[in-house]
Amino acid sequence: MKSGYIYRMAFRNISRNKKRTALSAFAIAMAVMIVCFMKSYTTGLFNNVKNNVFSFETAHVKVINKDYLKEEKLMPLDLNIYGYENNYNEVIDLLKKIEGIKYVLPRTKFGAILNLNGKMKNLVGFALDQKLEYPVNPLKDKIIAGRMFNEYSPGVQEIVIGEILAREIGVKSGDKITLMTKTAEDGLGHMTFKISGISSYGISEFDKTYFYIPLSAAAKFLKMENEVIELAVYLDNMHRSIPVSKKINEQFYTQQANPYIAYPWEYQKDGQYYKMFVTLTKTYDIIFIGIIFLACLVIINTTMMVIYERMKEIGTIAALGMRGTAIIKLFFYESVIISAMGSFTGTVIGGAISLYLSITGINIAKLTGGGMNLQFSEIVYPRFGLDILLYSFIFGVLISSVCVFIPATKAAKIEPAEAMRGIL
Amino acid sequence: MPIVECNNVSKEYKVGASVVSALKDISLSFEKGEFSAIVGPSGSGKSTLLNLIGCLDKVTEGNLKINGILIKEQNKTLLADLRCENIGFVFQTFNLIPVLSAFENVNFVLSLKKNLPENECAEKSMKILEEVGLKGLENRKPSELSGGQQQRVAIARALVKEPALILADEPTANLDSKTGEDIMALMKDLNMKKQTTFIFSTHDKMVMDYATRIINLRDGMITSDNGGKKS
Ligand SMILES: Nc1ncnc2c1ncn2[C@@H]1O[C@H](COP(=O)(O)OP(=O)(O)OP(=O)(O)O)[C@@H](O)[C@H]1O
Ligand SMILES: [Mg+2]
Repeated sequence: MKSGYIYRMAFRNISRNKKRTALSAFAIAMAVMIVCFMKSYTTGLFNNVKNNVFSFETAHVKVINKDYLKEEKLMPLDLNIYGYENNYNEVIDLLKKIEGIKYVLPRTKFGAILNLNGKMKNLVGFALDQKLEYPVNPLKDKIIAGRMFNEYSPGVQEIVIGEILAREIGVKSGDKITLMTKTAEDGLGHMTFKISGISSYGISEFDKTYFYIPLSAAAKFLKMENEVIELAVYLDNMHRSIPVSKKINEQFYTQQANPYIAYPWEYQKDGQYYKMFVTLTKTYDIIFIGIIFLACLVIINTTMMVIYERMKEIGTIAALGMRGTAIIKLFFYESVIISAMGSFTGTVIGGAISLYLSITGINIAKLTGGGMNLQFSEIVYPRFGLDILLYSFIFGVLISSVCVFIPATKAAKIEPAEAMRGIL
Repeated sequence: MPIVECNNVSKEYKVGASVVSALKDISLSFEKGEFSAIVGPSGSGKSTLLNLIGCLDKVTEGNLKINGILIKEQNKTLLADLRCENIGFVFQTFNLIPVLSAFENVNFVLSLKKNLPENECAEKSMKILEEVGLKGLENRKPSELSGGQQQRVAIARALVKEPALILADEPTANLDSKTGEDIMALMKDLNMKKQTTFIFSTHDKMVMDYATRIINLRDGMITSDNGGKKS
């Protein structure tokens, strides 16, 4: 048959019982809104955690001094990577020969004290080689004011500090701060830095306590000309970190001295948080299905009521010669239109909330009362993306339209005589 | 070849654990152009028989043929197509589609048929509405029409596709006697002009007077049939 009348009837049927249409559309809108927002939120949280964990904490594999692990909390600078004869680059060269390794980044994480008019503040510093870091951890792109630091040269001592820290101590780019630290030689070091830029990772731990200097400055400040604390290794495939670590350790055994160890992310505390988190995120998908399922119950229920209501009509159009497939189509189109309206509304509202919160962030520390002792950031930025909007919209339309098949197929199977008597 | 042929047709309904025998061993046929009334007391099986002939329900026993086609061998889609092409219905309660206008209710039936150009459909629909005396009311919804007007739309809907057979289950039961007579005259007129076969059920003496053949049913069995050739 020509589909014109099916569309026409489906469309008019929608406005026939406005309350039921509104109820169905509302149920779908709510479900889609929640899914849209939750998906943005969990993706944001997930990316955040992933970034947090892998960019600074665990890498894929961390190569460190065997003894460093025992005193990790103290960040002992003397338990470092000094190479075999000359400097840490010898270890890097060794690592680069191993298959599956993409980047090896020398880093030094160290504790420092900021002296601000007699008030002391404990900070954590990262000494980095910005050029090498860039593909993995583009600090440069996280700078919201000023610019990236320049390499050290006498008179040029530049630093990038976190956004919250800058606000707390009331400095801006261009200002100078003096830091104190215990050097690798166990002496006391201090250096005055010019703030070249302010960074924002959206992760409060980073933005509150972290600062970044070039390795060349750390060499002088920490007295570590040839040493770094760790080599952050990034792989082609992060899930091969255990076998690659094994290979690295085997390589280390072949050397005359063996002070280093490769430590895959899975074995690290933060890595385990991450794994737990992945599982957690998966459970969200189950919750999404649950939410949509609830909305589906509303749709199936209202559709069943509508079909019951229109039983005589279904019988009549069947008697007039409309095929069963066309009758199913009639209800299907009606449902597609309602669920598209609902899904669209839900996507717009959910998307608007996500967009807004992706800019302002959600302070989960505040929401949870600050009791969460995880390595996650306290401020979560939901990820706003067209893919998520599309996912939510299609999810809503698809599932609720499919739901209609169950009662509609049943209706199409009834003998017209029975249907016209109005008995389901 | 008769247009409708019933051979030892029985129909049983299951009501809970018990079985209601609505039609018992009916053998009956209708030729083209007949204008027949099925009469009988309430519960005698008139509607059941019309539903079976209209392929709206399944026979329990026996064979029913429409245009020589054995109905119980056809699937639901084929039956829908068969109804679409060959059978028009007029129901006691009119059964118009409430969301469609008078014109659309009629035109809709033509849209179900294949290979009919749209403007031709619209033309036919308008013409038939005029014939049943509804000129000027084409765009009204069923809810905006009187019972008699609605039944006229229903008749127009049954006639527009020019089916070989029109089945009408108590077409005048919900109309006053004047309107009822108008409707009967209209059907009779079309029967004469187009040789359309009509089978209708009724309680109404006036309606019976129009019929050229009267079949009496009682308790699911034929008690008399004037003019019908029993096979
Ligand atoms: N769907 C059904 N389920 C159970 N029994 C039915 C069903 N339809 C009809 N019957 C029974 O079959 C018998 C015949 O019913 P039918 O409706 O054909 O009678 P009728 O002659 O049309 O009566 P009326 O003049 O009241 O319309 C009755 O006893 C009725 O109760
Ligand atoms: Mg009846």
